Amino acid sequence: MARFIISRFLQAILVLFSVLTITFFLTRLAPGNPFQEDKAIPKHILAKMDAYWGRDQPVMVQYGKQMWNFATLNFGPSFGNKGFTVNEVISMAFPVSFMIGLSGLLFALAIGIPIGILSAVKRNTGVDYSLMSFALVGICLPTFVIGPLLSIAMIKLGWLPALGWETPWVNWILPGLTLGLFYGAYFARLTRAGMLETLSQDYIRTARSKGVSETRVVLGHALKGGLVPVVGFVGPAVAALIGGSFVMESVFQLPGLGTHFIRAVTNRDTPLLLGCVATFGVLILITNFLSDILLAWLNPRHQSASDA
Amino acid sequence: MPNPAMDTPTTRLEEIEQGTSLGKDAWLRLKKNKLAMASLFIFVFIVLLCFIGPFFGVQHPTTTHLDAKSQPPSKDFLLGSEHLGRDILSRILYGGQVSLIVGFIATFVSLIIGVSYGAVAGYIGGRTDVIMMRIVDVLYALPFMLIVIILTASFSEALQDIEFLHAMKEKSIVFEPDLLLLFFAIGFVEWLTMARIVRSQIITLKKQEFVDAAVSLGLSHKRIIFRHLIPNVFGSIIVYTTLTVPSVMRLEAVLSFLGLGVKPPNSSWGSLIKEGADRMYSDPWLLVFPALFFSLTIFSLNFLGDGLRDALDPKTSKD
Amino acid sequence: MMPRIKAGLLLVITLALVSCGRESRVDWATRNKILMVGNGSEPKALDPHLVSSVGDSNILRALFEGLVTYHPTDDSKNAPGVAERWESNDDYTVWTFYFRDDAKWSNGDPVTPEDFLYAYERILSPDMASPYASMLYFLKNAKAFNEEKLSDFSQVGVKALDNRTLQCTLRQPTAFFPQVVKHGTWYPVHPPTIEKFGQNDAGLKPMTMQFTLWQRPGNHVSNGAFQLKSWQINKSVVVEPNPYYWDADIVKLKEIRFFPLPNEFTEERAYRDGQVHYTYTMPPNMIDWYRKNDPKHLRLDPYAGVYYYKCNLNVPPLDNVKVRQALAYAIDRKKIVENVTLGGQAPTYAFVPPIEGLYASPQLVKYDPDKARQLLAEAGYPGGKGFPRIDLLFNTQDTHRAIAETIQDMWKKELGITGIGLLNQEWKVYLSTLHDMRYEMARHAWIGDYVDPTTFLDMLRTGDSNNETGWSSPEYDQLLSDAALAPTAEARQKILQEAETIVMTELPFIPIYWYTRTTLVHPHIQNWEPLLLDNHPYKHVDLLAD
Repeated sequence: MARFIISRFLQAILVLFSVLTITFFLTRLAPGNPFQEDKAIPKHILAKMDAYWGRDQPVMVQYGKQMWNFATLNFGPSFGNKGFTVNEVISMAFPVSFMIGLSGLLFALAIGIPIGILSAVKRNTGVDYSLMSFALVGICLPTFVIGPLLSIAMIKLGWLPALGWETPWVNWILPGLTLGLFYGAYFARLTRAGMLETLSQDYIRTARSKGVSETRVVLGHALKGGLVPVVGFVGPAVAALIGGSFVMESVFQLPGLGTHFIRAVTNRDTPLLLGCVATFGVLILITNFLSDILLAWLNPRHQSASDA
Repeated sequence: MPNPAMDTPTTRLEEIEQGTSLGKDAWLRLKKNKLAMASLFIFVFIVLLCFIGPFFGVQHPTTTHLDAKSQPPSKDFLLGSEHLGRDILSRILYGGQVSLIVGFIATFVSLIIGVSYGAVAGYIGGRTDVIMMRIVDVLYALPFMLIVIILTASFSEALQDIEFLHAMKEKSIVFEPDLLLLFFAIGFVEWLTMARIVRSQIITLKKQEFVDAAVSLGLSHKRIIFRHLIPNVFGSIIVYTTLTVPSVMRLEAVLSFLGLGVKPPNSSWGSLIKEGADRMYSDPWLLVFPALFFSLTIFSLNFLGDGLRDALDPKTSKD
Repeated sequence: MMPRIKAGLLLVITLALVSCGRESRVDWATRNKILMVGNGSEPKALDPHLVSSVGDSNILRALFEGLVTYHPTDDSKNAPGVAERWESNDDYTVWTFYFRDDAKWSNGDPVTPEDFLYAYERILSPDMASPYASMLYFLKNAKAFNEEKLSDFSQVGVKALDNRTLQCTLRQPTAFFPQVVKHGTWYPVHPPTIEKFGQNDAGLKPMTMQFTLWQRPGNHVSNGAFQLKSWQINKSVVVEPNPYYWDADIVKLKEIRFFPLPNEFTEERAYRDGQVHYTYTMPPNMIDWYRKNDPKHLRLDPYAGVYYYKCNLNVPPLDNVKVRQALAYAIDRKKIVENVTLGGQAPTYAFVPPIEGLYASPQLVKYDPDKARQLLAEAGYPGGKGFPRIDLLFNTQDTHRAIAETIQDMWKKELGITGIGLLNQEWKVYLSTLHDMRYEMARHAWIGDYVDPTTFLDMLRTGDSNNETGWSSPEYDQLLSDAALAPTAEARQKILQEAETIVMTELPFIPIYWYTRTTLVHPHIQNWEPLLLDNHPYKHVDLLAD
């Protein structure tokens, strides 16, 4: 196990290094100067700005500096937010995105998995169709529709603040629910598919033929295998949830990471972008790693062997 | 009551190997599934409506009528008019052409890449699997939006200058040069999750007895992957594919916001829904009708997918 | 997992019960005299020498005060700021500002002419690379200093006569100079603070450090009616009254909170939910809704800005003046402002927005489709036949797109031109296409910096970095120079009108409409009068519940 973790850790560093390198050179390919504005800035001033931020140096020197910053976990000042370093920007935004993402994930699991299981068990009945229709509504209505809908509903009902992050202890609910409905719908569809596949496997038939109760068959035997496709999906999904969603942050006015990511791209703010990419990369690596471990644990083989 | 004797690996192998009769069987089974057949009918109807409908007297989708802007459904505008007085119905139909084509081509591309990549990684395992999956991680973490901006800025103009595409564009917006970039951009990201899902399923499957049996029978790896393993995960593949279609269509809306994808004044379902979502409070029909067409398509695709899954499942008939 | 959900549900239910009858956020804020302001995007900086956007200057106006400051009811009038009075010599080239004795920084230090000298040297320093340094080019030799053609700042036309008097020597006669110094680029900064946080190992002058911690709450020192209380990125900037402000007695607000709300649809929802008193802008589709349902919240005030399409004169067929005229005459501007922008904007047939009592534009371009068709035929494209393919560039935004789609359709209907493509680009790509002149026709807009027609007309001078059309007219340049020397305001107006006539005949810019400020203003807000530049001095603003 220790060897496995160390090897994954080394791989992770390699992945991050590649991601940051590619991203750095992508930012050099993208047209547009980070400091240019609507009212044209005179050329001599633009040149001075580039010089101040080291953008006039040879590309490889800039690349080396950025990589050194990355190695020392200090991404330096952001081009776009003149008062803050990238580290500060990310450490301010990450907790918000984490809280929203985590609540979204919990909502999604709570909604998606039970619906998926029930649907698979009651396959091709009215229950199945209505549950799947509910899930499909979640898929058809993207977050930029559900979000404003919930928000407008709250304006009418007045139960919760319709948006904002002035009162975080209640502000997380609506965005969490929006993300939960959306991802929950995916979870439900994938759980159903996985469950159906598992329920027709040999070892389940064997279990049934042995007279194991249906509940035990479903929850005790089939569920583990049934969750396999969900686990494949969940790694990147969780990273996307926690990494912050620009749409959610824009709809609910949240000070999260997604906004910085998009702003970094649109402002050509290389240090901030690399910081965001690194954060997101670490998230992806962690969640994919966890989902791989989960996958190993869910692998039904040892079960089928014991049942046979 | 299942017959244990039927469950030996060899029987299953034979069943799967009999491709043609399987297809026929599947079709027969599908025909019995009323929901799936209704879905198929609705889906074909929507496709025909989008591609043939515009020839039957709907208004021009980009002609503005400023004196009749933002009107609810009426005799002149069957589904209402939007903020520049353009006919919603015709914008939905023309937009549907773009969305359906983008949805299907990009999904198809991501399906082919994702399934083969995931299956190969999962089946071979070991170091190859590690390298392949870390590449996927790298691609996940790259800032997609930046790639799109670069694609648009560097290739868009080059494609604009290809006269052939311009000539074809006059006939149908589907030949809009930027759509080609769009297929590329969407295909680029959408296969990643498919690869992960397929890989995770293959890993659990390859340890089962029938694979050992196939190996001992001396079948080639290629044959084992594509004839024996993948058919066993058709269920998840179909379901995730039907889920990819809407996410591709949504992605198209986001990308057209960045200047890639459908060019103004043309429309797509994604961009219509986006516009409608912004205006849902003052002019709800701008959201309702595009969302209705979109949802009907996705619903019918998903139920059709479920039916197909059931029909293709070699084990279904015995349950 | 389950307990958390249950707890969540419980929380929702409790809140639902508690929230019934609870006061809204703005009611609470009004009671506590906290002004909640929707303010566009997140500020780039809180340093007057580093910013250039309208939203940023809205915050800086609360924090800083210039020599002269904004009048609460009329932007063309001046109110005394740090200077209690000012005077000029006869030809308006030397201006003297007399400081008030009680002008103080938020740490209690007195505000001195030296502080202003320091600030002007800072913003003009080439190494500072201040994006808007050109606003100070009014001063003699300022341009040369900024462009590194002159290294001795003492030769720039500004000096402290004593510790209460500042004298500015200008490069040309400028009767409206007090208008100019109201602009944020002319604010002072607190030299000891800048020096303290500007210390660096790189051997740079502390003054020219662009990234320092001086902008942080606790470090920030300002001289306006308010001082910085907190700054949380993408959440809010909060300011509170500056106890040392000379006019602190009339400040009624206890706090102003600026919220970055870049999405206009979200901002409108925030307003309707009672989270902000004032919005930065609003979506056009909601203007009609408010007109019908809630007119007392809606404010449509004239705003000194013009929306236009730029033509690249190096590209055929736009090099042909008749083509540009045809395109300009075929746009039904009235239809556009009434149906697309919806905010009561004025259809414009000239370039410079009207400034009451100061300047009236010659109205030359009309909506005349017959004439447009005739002009196009004369240019060699009868009925739009053979018109080359050109793209109309705009940055991705709903209204820009709607206007472009409408005008594209008008040109198609009226002139038969089918070859106009719409090219929407992401912001920075758009800027680089625009500023590198790789466009054919592009949407642009200009908001005045001060109340005078030259804030618009100057940009079309040959070689101005904002000209970007390839258009150049020696006659025009000469008229602008002459105008500065005109003996009377009337004579000056006439010369400027003559200059504008040249622009409107040659049409390197095709004007579409003059701006209005379309905002939602809560009835609780007092003393928020319509202002041409929309620069509200917050010290007069009050909040009263009805």
